[in-house]
Amino acid sequence: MNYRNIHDLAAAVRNWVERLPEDIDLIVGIPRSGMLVANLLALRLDLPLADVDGFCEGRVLIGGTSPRGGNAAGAGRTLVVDDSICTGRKMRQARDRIRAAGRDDRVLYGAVYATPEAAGAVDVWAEIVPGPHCFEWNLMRQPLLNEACVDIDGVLCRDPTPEENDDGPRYRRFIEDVRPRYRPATPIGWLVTCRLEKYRAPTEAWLRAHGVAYHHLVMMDLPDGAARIAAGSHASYKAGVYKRCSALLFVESNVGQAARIAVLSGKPVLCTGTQQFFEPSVAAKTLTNAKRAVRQGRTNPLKLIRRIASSARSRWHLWRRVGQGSDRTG
Amino acid sequence: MNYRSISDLNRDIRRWAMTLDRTPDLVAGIPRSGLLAANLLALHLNRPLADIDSLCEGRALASGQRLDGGNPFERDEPLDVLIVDDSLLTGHQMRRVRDRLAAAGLPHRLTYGAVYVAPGQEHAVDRWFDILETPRCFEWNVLHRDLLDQWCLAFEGVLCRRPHAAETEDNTVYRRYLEEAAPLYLPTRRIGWVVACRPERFRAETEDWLARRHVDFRHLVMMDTPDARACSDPRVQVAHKARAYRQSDARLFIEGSHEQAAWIARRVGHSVLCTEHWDMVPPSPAAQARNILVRYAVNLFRRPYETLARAKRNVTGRIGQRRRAIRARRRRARDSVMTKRRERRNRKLSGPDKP
Repeated sequence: MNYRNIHDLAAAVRNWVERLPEDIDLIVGIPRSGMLVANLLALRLDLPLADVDGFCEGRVLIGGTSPRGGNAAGAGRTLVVDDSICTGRKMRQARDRIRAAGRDDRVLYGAVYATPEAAGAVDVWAEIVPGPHCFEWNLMRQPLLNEACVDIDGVLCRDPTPEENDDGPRYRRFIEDVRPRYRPATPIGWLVTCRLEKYRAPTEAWLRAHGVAYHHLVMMDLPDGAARIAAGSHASYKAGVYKRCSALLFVESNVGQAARIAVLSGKPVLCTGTQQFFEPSVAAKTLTNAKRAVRQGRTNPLKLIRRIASSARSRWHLWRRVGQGSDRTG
Repeated sequence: MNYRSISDLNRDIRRWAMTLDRTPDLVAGIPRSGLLAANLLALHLNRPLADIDSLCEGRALASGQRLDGGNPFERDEPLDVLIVDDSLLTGHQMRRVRDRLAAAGLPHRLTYGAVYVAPGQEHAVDRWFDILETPRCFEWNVLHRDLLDQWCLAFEGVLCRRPHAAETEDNTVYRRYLEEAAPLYLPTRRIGWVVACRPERFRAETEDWLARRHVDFRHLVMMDTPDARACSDPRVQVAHKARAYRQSDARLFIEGSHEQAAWIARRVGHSVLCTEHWDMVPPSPAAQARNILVRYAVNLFRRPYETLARAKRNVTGRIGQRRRAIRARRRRARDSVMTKRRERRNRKLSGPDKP
């Protein structure tokens, strides 16, 4: 699992600027995450910015003030950017769109993060990142959430205050009325919460009311709050659930718990509070992968073979790209 | 100098998104740099994004792929729109946008916000995240601002790459480097002082390079040695840059290497912005204090009355700053109490409907 936050993105864009061809005079972003990259590039280079629709219809969002580029129409090239290229579908759609509008001469296609397989589909890229990857800016809109464990308190809504956390009417009211913080656009694999099993009904009602789709809702099976405190660490409970299920990622809001879960489960954990990514140690990772392979080999050998083949293909592409750089400018 | 990098902006917007008391249906950004803030906010709230033109024309730039999805303008009902700028200094821009949107006669409920506001401008917007004192600068527009003509900028490491050790050995190779070095960051405004670590006798080549890249500047400070090799010693470079920084009235030095930035800041007692990590390197408190004392001593000797007046202004300004910060903190505490009260009242009002 490769994670990149906006700090990493800004750094990657910064380094990329130095390697981009000098004659670019318009930046076009592919909605929606590509707009962020295009925006960063346009501000950094002081060039005009457009979205794909606007570019096809000849509009710009912000004009450049640079005396070099911009207003000298037709002098330089246009850079069409996206944040990442994985399958190349979005890039192909944008390419078709621009070709249909008849504006595809002197256009350069680029992505900040490219998987080794897809790097050939763009003219310029900033960094090769093998999949599976996830990004801070579209975490809640990724199909990956289908294979992730997500905490409720702190991630989907705020944590209860100490007064609200009374295991009584106030707590019930908190569960019913709290405002959602993130609204995931895809169904979540496992919702793992330390709420007690007796609050299942109001929690499910809240999730339904705010349109949060999920496959499993795992709650603590204890009689009351006192027993929950006696049972000890939340992290070990969450790590236990995470370890037993086939999830690839755990999304947790508390830094301390996130670090603990990563250690205990041997799988990656993302902390939304600080946007840190906790990778388990290499040994733990290898052990987890091996266990998963054995389990999969027993239940679904075909899938295992396919997975090994795709991973080998990815390695091969990565090896081929190393040292080649992204200096190709089309 | 108050500085915010893109990661700072993102962190602040993430916190801001969590404390907004109502989630807007659409986030609109004010070009140029407001669009970046709006973009980040829209991503954190998972809402569509627009700019001012497209808002007037009823188009969204990038619709969030929500479950209920789609273009929000197709719903044909007034939307909650949050119009965002990155920072508010005088409020001119915001007022222009307000007038423009008022003239367009949109049916939507418009709320105005800025991530950073200058002290005293809090009432110009409905929502803001933080008060930021002037002088200030931001990573996303630092090289494209008019203030650049009051700042120093290092030539090697910022405008172009540094020479390799081998390139300084031979005169012809060095001359070729001077002529052909690829640019790194090219500012679009006039620079105050370009500080180049190269011998004075290569002034013509250097000016030629700058002219070819359309870089405008007020002064070009070069080194007083004939030897190119001596110029590549980091200690000599730091001494040269620190001297240039001290002798100019610049309030900011933009430097390529992080290590040298720290040295320069320590020597001069002013902040240095480093483009290696894009962070602000502040001088140590001791260096700052020493620098201020020396400056006051010199000025007191030269222009006693002005210096005393400025000292008084500085002290009262500091007190005002402190007071404003306390007031802002109190207001924030009060707002959170009010929000809780409002929530409680709403719950009471909607209480009997529930089973």
